[in-house]
Amino acid sequence: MAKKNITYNEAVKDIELILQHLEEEDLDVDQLADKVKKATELIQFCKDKLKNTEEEVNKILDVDEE
Amino acid sequence: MSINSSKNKTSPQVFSLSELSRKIKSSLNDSFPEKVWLRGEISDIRQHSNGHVYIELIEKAKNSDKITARIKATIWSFTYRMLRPYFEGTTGYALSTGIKIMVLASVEYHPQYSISLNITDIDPSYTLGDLAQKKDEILQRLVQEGVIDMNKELEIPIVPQRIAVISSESAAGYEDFLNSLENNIYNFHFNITLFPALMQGDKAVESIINMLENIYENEEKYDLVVIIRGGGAKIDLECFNDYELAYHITQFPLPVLTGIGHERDETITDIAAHTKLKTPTAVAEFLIDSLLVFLSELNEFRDRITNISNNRFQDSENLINRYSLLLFNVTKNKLSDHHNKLSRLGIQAESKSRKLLFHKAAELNSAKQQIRSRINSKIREAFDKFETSSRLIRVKSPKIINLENQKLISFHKALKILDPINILKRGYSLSYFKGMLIKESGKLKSGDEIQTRLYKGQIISRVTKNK
Repeated sequence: MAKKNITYNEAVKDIELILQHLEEEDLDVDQLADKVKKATELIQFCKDKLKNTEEEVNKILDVDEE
Repeated sequence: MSINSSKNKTSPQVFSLSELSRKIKSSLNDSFPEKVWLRGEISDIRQHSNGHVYIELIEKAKNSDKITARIKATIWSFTYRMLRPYFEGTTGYALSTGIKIMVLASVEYHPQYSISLNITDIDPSYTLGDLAQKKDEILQRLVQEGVIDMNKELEIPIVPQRIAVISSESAAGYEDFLNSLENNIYNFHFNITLFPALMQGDKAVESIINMLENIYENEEKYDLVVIIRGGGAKIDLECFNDYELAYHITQFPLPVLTGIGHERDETITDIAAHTKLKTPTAVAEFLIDSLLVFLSELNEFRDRITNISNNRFQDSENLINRYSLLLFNVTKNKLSDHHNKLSRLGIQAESKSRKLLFHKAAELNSAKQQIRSRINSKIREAFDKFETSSRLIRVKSPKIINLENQKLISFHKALKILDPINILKRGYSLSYFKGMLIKESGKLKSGDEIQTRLYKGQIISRVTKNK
């Protein structure tokens, strides 16, 4: 589960770390599933955050447009 | 008396006032038989209710205010009705105190009121020239003092909205200014504070400077100062050519905009101001334009922010998508690696176990062979034994058989004696009841059926009596 208080940048860093782990280290399969799950959740988290922020930004920017 | 005067040349001549007056009058008429052009400064001017205008003209010493000559003048009302529009229309100024004029006048003498001038014509170009010269002197002074551009060096705030206005409250120009600002199509809002001042006449300069000082006390509350007047007659701008007023404006800490509402030459006030505009309406448009520039800058900023944030989003989204794909690929590869490893292990396991099985099978086989060969040898051994035995038997058996036969024969003989048949042969019989040999009569009842075996055949009989 993605931590509640994680920031977008932290999430991206975590994803990079996991990818690095996956690429470099000889993980066992049990760990692989966990890591992939974690990374996928982080990616989803990032996507959600992006989407929300984008909507919010658009909302803010749209306010002045008539 | 005049008769005597010619006779007594040596004795001093004494005139009555009226004689003197007549003499003066005639001398004047001789000296000024026609009207003369003359120039002077108006030190006082007032119009009587009957329409006649009474003026006092003076001349000052050069470079000082000392009055060196003074004379009264009149303009009769019918003349004034023509001269005034002519003068004001040409110069843009009213005939007022401080203005230098060149006039055509007859020099008149009245015994009761002494000498006065009766003005019948005026040359406005002289006044214009004089004013231009005076204006030029003031301008040169401000330039030499190095202050003329000081207000221009101030920057107009990016969003000038707090406006201090110096004007007369009732001026049409002020009304125009307010309307233009309030009815702008962009809905810009302005905070306008009026500092009411006299905008013409002798007191105008002092009044305007007072208002500037009032504004200065709350300088931080305003973005700039607007001096406007206008509408109505285009006269009486002289107060805006004042040195003190211009100097105050150059030293003022806020930008000063003018909209004095004239189309002729600039006044010193206009030149000293930050920005000179022709009319109050033009000032309002200038302010609206400033805000419009700011608004368009804001819009541009907003567009740039939108672009930048869109790009950032795009970048972030691309990164996440790339990572997502990478994760998928890496995971797939990882799994495929593991899968391959497993397959390899499987193949290894299979081949190893095949080998093992083969090996075990070989072992079993050889064990089997051993067992078989051992068994065979055992069997052969056994056979050999048997053969030996059978040879022995074959050798020994006839003897044994014979021996045995002897035994058997002797047994047979013994048996023959014991055999019931031999007993039966001798006439004995055996009776059975229900398959059981009857040895006692007591167990039988009359009526029981019994079987009796004889040496040859058998009979079945019924018990009739039991003794």
